[in-house]
Amino acid sequence: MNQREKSWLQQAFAAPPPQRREVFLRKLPTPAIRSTTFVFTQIRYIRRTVWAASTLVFAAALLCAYMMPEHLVGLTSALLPFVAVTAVSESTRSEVCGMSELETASRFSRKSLLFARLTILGILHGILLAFLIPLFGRFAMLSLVQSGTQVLIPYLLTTILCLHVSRHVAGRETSYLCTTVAALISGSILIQWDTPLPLWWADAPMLLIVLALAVLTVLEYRKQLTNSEEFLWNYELTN
Amino acid sequence: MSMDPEEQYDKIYRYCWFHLHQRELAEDITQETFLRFYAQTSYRESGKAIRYLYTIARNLCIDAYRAPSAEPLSESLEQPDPSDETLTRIGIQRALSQLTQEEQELLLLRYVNELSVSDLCDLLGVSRFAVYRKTRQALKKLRNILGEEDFS
Repeated sequence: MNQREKSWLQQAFAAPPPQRREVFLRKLPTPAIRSTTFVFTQIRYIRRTVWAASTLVFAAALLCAYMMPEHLVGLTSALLPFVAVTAVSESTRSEVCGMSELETASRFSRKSLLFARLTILGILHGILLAFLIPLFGRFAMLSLVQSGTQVLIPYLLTTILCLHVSRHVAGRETSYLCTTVAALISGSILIQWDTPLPLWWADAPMLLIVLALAVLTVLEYRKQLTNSEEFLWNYELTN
Repeated sequence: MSMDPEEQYDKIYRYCWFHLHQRELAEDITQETFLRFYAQTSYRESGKAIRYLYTIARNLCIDAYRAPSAEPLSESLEQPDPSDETLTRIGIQRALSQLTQEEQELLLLRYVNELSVSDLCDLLGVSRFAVYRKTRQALKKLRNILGEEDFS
């Protein structure tokens, strides 16, 4: 059916305008949505690049493990900062795209949208990191703690720094700076990946470092969520 | 298709008007449809929202047919406006009136309210093949009727 025929039909079936539409729709109660349903509906709003980055690292790690096990740790650890950046970029996307004001006025608060998306990404990256740790142990002959630190330190460090940057820099510059941070951390891993682990690399201190980074990451994300509306007000008033 | 009440209200109202040809009654049924729809939660989140909305509207229209109505039979007649657009509309309406009720309903739901084929299958209780066949038949008939008229 062509557009002309369609418009004929639309004219032919046209009804007289309803008189009580606006009043009814204003009073119509919005149905409640379950929390799990709300979280799952946010999956399709997460960009494909985020899923692609995690899939790429997963595939690269598997490939490296079987073809170049000697490079597994260095290469995979060097890619993890970019995975962390994709998660941080999801939390700052609405500011970068200028949609934050609209989202604060939407049915679901920006804070709850952010929380839902970060939960999904947290689960996704948790699965990825949980997969990488035993992989390092199996193919690179590292202990569990050593694998854990090699995986978690680049990821958590990038996350903390990028979240800090995103709270102090507005607009598109956030993306560029976060990518720069990730590139620097990745570069420093690549530079020293062939270096044997230093003598002071003992399990206990490294575990403490990882724990401290994990706590800092949680605090940074908490600040990000709390400031998601407050920051917007300050930004809108001063810019 | 999204289950946005603002978007669906006009479509459901148009559907009810098609069946009832009474503005007040069509609007009452439209609103009753939404209220009943939102009173139920079992199907809302299973991706069948549109089908259930139209099913409720259809059943309410059928009940309205059967109930004695005190309302006037139709809206006040419009004075014919000699503009081309109105004449075209009247011509198409006359052509549509020569189709069966079922064929008219199918064209309304498929091409005006833009229901998907799977929603139509569920609503009308026919297979996908039957929907395609009946739609093709209705369109062919309509085109033949319009082809016989002179709109120049």
